Amino acid sequence: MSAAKPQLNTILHHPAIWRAADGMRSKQCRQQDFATVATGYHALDQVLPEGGLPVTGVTEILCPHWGCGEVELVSSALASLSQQARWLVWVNPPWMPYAPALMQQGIALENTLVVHSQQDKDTLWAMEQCLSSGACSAVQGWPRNPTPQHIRRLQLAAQKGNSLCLLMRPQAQMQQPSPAPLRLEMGPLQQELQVRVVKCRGHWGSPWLRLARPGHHSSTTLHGNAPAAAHKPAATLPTRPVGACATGFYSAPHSGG
Amino acid sequence: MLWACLHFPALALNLVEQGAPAAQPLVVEITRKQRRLVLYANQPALQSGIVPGMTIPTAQSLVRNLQCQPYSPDGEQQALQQLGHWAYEFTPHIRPHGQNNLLLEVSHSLKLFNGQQALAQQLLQQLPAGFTPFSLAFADTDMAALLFAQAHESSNQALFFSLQDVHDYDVQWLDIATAQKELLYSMGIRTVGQLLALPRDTLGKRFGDAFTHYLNLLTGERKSPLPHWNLPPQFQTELDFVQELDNAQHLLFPIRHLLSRLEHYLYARQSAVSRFLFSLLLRSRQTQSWPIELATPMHRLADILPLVQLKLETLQLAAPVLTLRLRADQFHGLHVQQRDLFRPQQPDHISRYQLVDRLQTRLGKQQVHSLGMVSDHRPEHCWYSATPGQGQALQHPSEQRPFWLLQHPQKLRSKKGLPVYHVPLQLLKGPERIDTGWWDNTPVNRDYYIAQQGNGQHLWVYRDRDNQDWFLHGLFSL
Repeated sequence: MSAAKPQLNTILHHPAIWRAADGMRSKQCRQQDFATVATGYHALDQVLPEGGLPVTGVTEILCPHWGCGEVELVSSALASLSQQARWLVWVNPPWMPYAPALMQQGIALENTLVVHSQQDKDTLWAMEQCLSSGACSAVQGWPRNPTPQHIRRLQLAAQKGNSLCLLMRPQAQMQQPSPAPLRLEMGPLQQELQVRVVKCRGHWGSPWLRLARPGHHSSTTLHGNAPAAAHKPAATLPTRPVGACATGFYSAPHSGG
Repeated sequence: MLWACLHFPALALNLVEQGAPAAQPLVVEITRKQRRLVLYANQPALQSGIVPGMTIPTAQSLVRNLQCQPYSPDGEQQALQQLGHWAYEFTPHIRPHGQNNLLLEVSHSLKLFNGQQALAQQLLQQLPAGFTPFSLAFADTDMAALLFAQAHESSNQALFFSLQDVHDYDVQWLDIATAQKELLYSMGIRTVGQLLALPRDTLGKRFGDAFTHYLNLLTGERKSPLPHWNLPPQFQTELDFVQELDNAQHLLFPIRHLLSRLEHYLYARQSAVSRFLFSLLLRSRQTQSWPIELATPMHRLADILPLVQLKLETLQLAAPVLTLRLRADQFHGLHVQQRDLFRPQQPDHISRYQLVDRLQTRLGKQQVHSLGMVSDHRPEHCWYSATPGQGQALQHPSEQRPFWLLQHPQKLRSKKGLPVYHVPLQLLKGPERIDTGWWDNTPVNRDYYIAQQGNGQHLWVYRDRDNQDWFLHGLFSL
């Protein structure tokens, strides 16, 4: 009896079964094909439509707190977008993006633009101006409390200017409706990045994904086996991770003591 | 040689009206022999019975609230200079003549503009607004072109003549003194043809060498020297208002007028401008300066005007404005960008900086900046907020740096010699000692560590070696 019971997967591969998600994936059914930029995380790129963040439109990232890995998630995409002769804009960031780190991640400094604003109204205005001008490849903004109408306006502006809008919002606002075509939720930072797709075009959301942080394992093992190591920093020199690139965490040999 | 003469019979009136003909009777007055006389009258004034040459009291008795503007010869000369800048697009051989004529030698430009007719069309199309009536005459010598243009004044079209046509014209159109014209009439000479039939040397004895020289120029027996137009190294122009303006928004039209003159000047010099100065002469006899700075050099009116318009919204007028003056003296070579054939959406250089200008105008100049690096080991000094687009990258740090830097390091509590940020931190890597800056009064003597919070968040902390206090200086987003 058990041998006759068909597996769900085999049923789904039956040619007579049509799934809406597959239909959206095929080029014929799409209204327009949209370009994407890879995040650099294979597992995340797999679940995102077209294999990456769309380069046009609003992508919402919901974070439990700032600094939970939300920049890490998009830094590879930002680095490749910054190579265009267009601005890469941070509007009202919680802290100052640090130029040496940007350079280490491969972001072209001559294309960076930081915009500070006192009022939330100005933050949204500046984001909309940047997006609709067509002179920005990506705009990452931290508005305090954007309404669905605001997000809709940002989406229209991003489509007009062919720009990527990264809208950073606290996780508490996840229950609010949002017209953003892609919403990602970050989990609290653990040894790995936790992220899930809440909403995207033509797919269901994804379950929680745990993404390994590049060049990060050496420090976590260190942390795991020797709590006393912290007291003797010189003795706890981590080894250089294999295959660490410019964005690797501890890429440089250390000479302190 | 082919000369074109642009003749503006009512130039002084044009300057007063500034492209917007007044509905009220308006005259330009001149004082001769201590009598105020009407020099030019606009259409409503002419309809009321005012004629040029009438005294001002008589004219005022005809029209109750007649506006009288004094005649300014300097203004006319400046206007001819402006028109010269404009005509520089067509030919470099330009000469203002008299009070209201501009002579252009265009034979070298015919090939570029596809012949006389096409060139004349271009001239008529691009003639700045507000200079009507005018006449444009083409002839083989400059003096003949001048004669034809004056004879057909206010024809508002291009006319072409051959030198033979000169013979049929009355001697009153010759460019000579009035006394000499009367002398010619008394001799019974009516037309230029009759005059030219006379032996030239006897005319020289009676009228002087200058007269025969003029006739030789008219007939082309002597060639007039080819003038060369020199653009001044600085650009300056001004506009007087008939009525004082008390609302800043009303300045937009005159600003556009002045900027279009600047555009012609920039086009002629093939340069761009990044800063210029408006001076507003106020009723209180003060001058209000209004400098405009652009994030990148621009040369097109269509690019400059929206930014000036945006800045105009914040302009506060101290008093009503009588005169607007525009001055620009720093120019840059024209930056011509090659566009990508395969990526048509690539924004041009100008629109990138228009965005910066827009943001800076609303949020403030300091609030919008790029990021750059300085060769300094102190973390807070090794970056700077650069002018947008000027951010410079250096291969400075070899150590890993945090993505976020706190503007001011945050002091942390310490527990058993370790820093505490919500929870006790674990030091992962360090120390990286930075002990420098003793020469400029902001020395640092710190040991930097990468610390980890319980949840895996990495922080950049340091211990001040002078007082052993812990500080949080950055957050790794990574």
